[in-house]
Amino acid sequence: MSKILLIFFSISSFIFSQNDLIKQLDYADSFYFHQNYYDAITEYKRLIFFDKEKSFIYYSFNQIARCYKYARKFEDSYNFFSLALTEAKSSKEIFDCKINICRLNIIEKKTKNAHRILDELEKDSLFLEFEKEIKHWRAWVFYFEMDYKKAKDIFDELNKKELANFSEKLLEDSYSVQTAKILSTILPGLGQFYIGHYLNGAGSFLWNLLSVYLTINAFSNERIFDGIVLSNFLWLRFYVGNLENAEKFAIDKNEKIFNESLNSIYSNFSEEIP
Amino acid sequence: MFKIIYCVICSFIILYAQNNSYHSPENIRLFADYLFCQNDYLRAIEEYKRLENSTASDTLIFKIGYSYLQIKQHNYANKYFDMIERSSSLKSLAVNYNSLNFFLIKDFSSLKNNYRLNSDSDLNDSKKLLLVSSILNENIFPSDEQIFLFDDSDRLFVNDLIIKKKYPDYKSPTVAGILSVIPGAGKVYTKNYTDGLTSFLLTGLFTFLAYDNFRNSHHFRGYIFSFAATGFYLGNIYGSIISAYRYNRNYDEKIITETYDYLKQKNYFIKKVNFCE
Repeated sequence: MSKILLIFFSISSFIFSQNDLIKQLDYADSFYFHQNYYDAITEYKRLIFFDKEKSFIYYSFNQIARCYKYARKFEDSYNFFSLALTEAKSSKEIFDCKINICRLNIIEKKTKNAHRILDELEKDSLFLEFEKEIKHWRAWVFYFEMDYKKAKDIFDELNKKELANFSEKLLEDSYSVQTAKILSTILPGLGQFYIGHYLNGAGSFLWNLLSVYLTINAFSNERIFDGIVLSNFLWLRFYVGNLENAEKFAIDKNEKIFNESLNSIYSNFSEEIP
Repeated sequence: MFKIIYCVICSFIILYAQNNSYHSPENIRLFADYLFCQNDYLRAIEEYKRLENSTASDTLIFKIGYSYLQIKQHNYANKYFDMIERSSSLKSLAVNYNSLNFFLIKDFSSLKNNYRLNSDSDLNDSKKLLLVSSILNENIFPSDEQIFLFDDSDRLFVNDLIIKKKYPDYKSPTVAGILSVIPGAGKVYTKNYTDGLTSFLLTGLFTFLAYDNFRNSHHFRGYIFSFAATGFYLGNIYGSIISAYRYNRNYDEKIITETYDYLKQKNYFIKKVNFCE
């Protein structure tokens, strides 16, 4: 009889300890689903601490990382995804961790890192079945690099029409920095006109015109020293300023278009975004 | 027999079902200690505070104070360190950590008061911190006997600090102003070499342009360049004086930064506590 009781107590204590863990898991999850990320992290940490069998450790690390990500604590999120990676058992879990780390890199615009992670995943035969998903995130890396053409091509290939159309629209709306610079090199102010900064373009053109006139005037009156000083300190300054302005305006405008597009993306494609 | 077994099973189930074991005081304490050792001080504080009313002890209060100190909530840290009873074995440690607390927020009068009001405790660590703070902030230098409170390596550092504070390598703003009669020389004196060279070249260039224009009867341009040259010249004098003040301020800041870096390395001379072994 005593043996039966002993077995009963052993089994039931195991079951109840598991029950406690599940209760704790539900408790932590309830905070997570109510977007109370601070308390969710505390409770997942409690779960990790008491989970001696490490049954929920991968899940908890993963959830903590997500909480930190939603709270925009990307460094902490990165650390916890890395910890989850050390506890991952299946190729799916390993892949998920790596992709999540890649997504963090995309959000932070560390696109070189993101490309490197995707390259590694692509080369690894363990993840052959996730080829489409890897391509999907590659497209997002290009998107965050503002290389909308490549992003569109990949989305097209994956048959994600809406995302492809979205990228195409951005491609049309955005400005070429190179074109702006070339236009301003040919005629000061033209690059600014191309971007839509008409007043600035006109100002740049007039300042350059004036300084060129003064420089030529000085040289034609054989005031060589005045000519050199004017060309160096006045005309060159306005000419270089005009080029820098054209480049800066193009970059700023593209940045603005990109940032505005993010709002739309996060409301329309919430499942598929980094 | 069957009834007995049935009763045991039922009571066992009820006992387990009612007991949310991870939130019992013992487990909260264990979890809080875990968070504390993981340097997750904010969460550790919250867990310790759940125990404050039921199982508060000096160790627990000290840990809350210490956690607050680590997350730079100095007022709360001070409150908890003060709560430790005089009879407690942690009292002198708490006073020393409170000294550190005041040192970090640069409240030197409270640092002195803390030392004075707790003179019955073993406060060698606080004393060292107080001595360094006096050197840094009040230029009050310790006696030879007081210097021997420090270890050999620390003594070297303190002696070096005393020399730097007693004989500071300051630059005189007056000398800088007088030297800048030659454009740029004042800035070179304050070791601001690039600014010195720029001042010299710009003042020289505009003076030459003014002279050249007057010589060629371009009077209007001559006046413009003279105006610019005068501006650069006066700016050079003013800039040299400011540069000397800035040099002196940087010198003081450098000493403070070096001292704080050294102290941080040495845990501010306060004995380290290790609750996590």
